[in-house]
Amino acid sequence: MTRRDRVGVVAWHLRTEPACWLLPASVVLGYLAAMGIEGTVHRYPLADAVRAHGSIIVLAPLGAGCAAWRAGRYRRGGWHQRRWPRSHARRAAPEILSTAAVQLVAYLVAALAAAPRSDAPGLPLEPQLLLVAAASLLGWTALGYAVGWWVRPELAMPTVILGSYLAIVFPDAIEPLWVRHLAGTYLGCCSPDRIIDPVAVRAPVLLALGVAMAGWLVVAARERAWTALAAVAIVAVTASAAVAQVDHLGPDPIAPRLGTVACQGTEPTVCTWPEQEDDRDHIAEVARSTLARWSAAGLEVPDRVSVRPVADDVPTIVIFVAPQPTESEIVRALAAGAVPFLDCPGGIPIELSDASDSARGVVAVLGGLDPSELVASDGPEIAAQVARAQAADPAARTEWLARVVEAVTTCAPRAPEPPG
Amino acid sequence: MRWWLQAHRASTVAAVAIGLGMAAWLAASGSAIQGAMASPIAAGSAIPIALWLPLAFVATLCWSCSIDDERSARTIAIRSDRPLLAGFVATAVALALLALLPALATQADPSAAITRNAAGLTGLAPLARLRVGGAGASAITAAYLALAALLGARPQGAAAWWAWPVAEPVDAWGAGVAVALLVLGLLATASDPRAVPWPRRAAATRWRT
Repeated sequence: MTRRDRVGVVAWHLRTEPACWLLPASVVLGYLAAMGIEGTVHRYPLADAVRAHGSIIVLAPLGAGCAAWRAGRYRRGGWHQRRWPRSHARRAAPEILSTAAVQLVAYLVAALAAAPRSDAPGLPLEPQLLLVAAASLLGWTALGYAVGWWVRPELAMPTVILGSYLAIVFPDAIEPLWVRHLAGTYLGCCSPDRIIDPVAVRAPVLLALGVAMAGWLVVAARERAWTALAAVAIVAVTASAAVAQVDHLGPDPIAPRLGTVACQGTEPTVCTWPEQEDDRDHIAEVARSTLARWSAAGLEVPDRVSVRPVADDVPTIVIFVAPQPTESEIVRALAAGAVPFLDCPGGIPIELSDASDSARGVVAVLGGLDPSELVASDGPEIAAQVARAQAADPAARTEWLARVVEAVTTCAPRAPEPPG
Repeated sequence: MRWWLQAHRASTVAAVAIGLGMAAWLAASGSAIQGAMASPIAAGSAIPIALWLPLAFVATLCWSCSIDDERSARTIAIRSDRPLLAGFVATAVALALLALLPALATQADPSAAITRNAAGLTGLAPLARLRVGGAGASAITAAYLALAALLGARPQGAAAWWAWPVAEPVDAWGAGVAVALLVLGLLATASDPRAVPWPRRAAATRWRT
């Protein structure tokens, strides 16, 4: 085959590729889907990339529909019943790949088009999400091609378009929870201290590749019946492996973020995520004055304030702050770091929850928070408890705070008696 | 006539129409096909799964109407069977609406919306079919429904003006659009003088020249 012939073959592929004709529509719809998904305001590159990844909700069904259409052309011509010099599967492979590739191009363009809205520096693309997108598009395209090969296009196309759409969107609200982690959409991910759990990347990729292989094999099933059995076996094995990977995950496929933090200063050392560089000086300044107030009130103060736990012996408060935080937001974040929120596997005792809220309020007010803000945010009841604790003997208050922190850490069934 | 009905799989269309009615009754009575799906874009939206049911009927009707699109009998026919086809579609829709009556009698929420969607989407599909053929029509109808659910749904049952299939059942605009689409679809099917949909006609013309 000469070079000119090869160019001709590629040109023929592109000319007969419905995904090419639909590319502008795919880009626009993918862009609308990505823009419509509620993003975070944390300037966190991963969160922005996840929002851009939302275009997969539109692009996967369109890819499956295009593949079904393309397979339907052979079906209409009766080719699916004839013997070819080459096997049907060999003919199907480049068509499945080209449709998936065009949809991947649409994904990239839609993601880049959604980028200007993002506040995050850099492109809203993450290698792990690209991998999931490529695998998902390939899987749905192959499945669409297989359905289009075996079923009349009038029935195949709505089946694959709606089937893939429902399979991607619907699991997000159903149980068991592992179903949610196989779609590979990651809607709602992630706050700056979280990343996508690596198993939640591996599982959808594994399943999608299994489905892609099975779809390709199903095309050849009229010539060789064993390929249908092989397809079922591949889907069963990959689905089992994928489910086993994500079975232990909770509602969200997230894991703690362990990336590098940038630290500055002493007493305290303040460590933030790289994207919070602009806010670091302000956080350090407020942290310094808050810790000075705590120290004056007789509380133990940490040597470091960090956005993630650090594995060393330096006493550290872990905080969570939004971009461009106000002074009161930083004080509240420090208070939340000093008195952590309850995380008890057997349920949260209400009494202890109230005590921890009060203790957090006391620590925040001692750090400089205006008590009137506490009334607005936590309600008059907590504010009244905080006022009572404020009026109590400082030594008794400090001892109560220490006991509340210990009870929160150990999930004690009873809350310590408040001072005064 | 019997041959024509057999060729167009009239019994299958009738079975799907009755099946639609039964499924809608199960959904309306709360026995099955429960659950709603939120749009990932519109938090607070909830689109009942049962609203997708009419698409099975629409796809079957597209399949039935297009069954002879690529046959030479259609491309070289002297007399158009359009009026016959329009009568067939009208009868199928009437049968589907009749089958939906028990569901409507329950006065439960999704039954009216299912009926509206069955009428509106059945009108939309023949309109699309005249331009892009049966496969394209059923694909466009499915894609439209998916896009309406994704981009057009709003919280508390509201919907964008163009996304009438996911609007509340009592939405007058949605009901009006559905009826208008059904009438237009039937009229277009009956009155279109072309013997074959556009893609086939282009192919047939090329072949003749």
